[in-house]
Amino acid sequence: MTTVLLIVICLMAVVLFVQIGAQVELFEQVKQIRGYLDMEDKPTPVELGTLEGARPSVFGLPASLDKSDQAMVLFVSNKCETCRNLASALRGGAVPPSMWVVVVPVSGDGNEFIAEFELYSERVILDEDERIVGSLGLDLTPVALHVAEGKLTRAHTVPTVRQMYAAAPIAYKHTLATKSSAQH
Amino acid sequence: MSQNVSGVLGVAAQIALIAIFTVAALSKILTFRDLGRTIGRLGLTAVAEKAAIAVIAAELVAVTGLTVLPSATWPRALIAPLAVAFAGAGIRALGIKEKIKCGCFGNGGAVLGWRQLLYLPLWLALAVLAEASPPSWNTEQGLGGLAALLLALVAWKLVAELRLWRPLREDRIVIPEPTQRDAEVPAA
Repeated sequence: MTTVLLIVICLMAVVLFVQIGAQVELFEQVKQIRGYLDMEDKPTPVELGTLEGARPSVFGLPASLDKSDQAMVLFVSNKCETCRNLASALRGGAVPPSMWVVVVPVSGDGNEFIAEFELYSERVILDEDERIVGSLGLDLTPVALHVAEGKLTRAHTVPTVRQMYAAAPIAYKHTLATKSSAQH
Repeated sequence: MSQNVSGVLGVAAQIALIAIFTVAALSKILTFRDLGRTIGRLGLTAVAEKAAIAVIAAELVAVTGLTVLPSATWPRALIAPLAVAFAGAGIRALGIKEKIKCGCFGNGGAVLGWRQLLYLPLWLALAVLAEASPPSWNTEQGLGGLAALLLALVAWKLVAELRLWRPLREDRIVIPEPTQRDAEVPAA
């Protein structure tokens, strides 16, 4: 009886090894395909050009950013699918510290987008008439704009929620079960 | 004392052969097509697939024999033609001066050549050591050990899978549906 049981265990283990091995191969291929199609979770730098070193308030961003040591401004439009994904993560106004969100209403009413994701925070701004992105010359979303010592330093795309949190100047503590609004 | 040492060496050599050939056989099952291609590039194109099956079967038979019949000579004797065949493949690859990927342990990165030649005395030495002082475990103990080894290999593969899967899952990005016309809209 024990011998039969051990033989069955050995055979099952071999099958399991081959199946997991096949899955490893599959995941390797997904990784390769993502790399080939440039779909990796990597932020793409956005050139600031002459805007580098400028004061954020010049472009209509809050004046408090001019005095900020470290801050990040996230631009999301109310239509792009990735932006909706990011906004969903910020639902309830759970915006990480030192992070500002600019909602760009590319079509329709931006307030509906804010209401849909309950982005009620003092650090969520509605860019009416695309005044801010227009003055920055920004035609991409979602984009993170970094501010250091009150000056614009760099910008990059934000392909995933993970990258959004990674870009936040102050690490955001994820709390399971209860999603508290990170305000300061 | 020396008998004890030789006994321990015999057991260790047999266990090493079981572990090595188990990993080799299972890895070759996963990369079966690659193994066939490797054999084909060595000049056995017509029988590449059959030869691949034969190599895997021979390794599995050797492992089973070494495990279940530890005192039998034939499983250890089977190691010799396998080792010679691997060394022959290495010599052939060196002879045709072509980089041929080796599916020996399932890793496609290795290249056939000197390594297979250097392994020949090692495999033979392990077989001779085990033959000089054969282990005396019974069938159940042997199968128990093999089951433990296989489960350890499953765990090792599972860890590799999780390492790959985690970043893939975390890096999953939103792909706009083709029907959604304005899925990605410029901000301005």
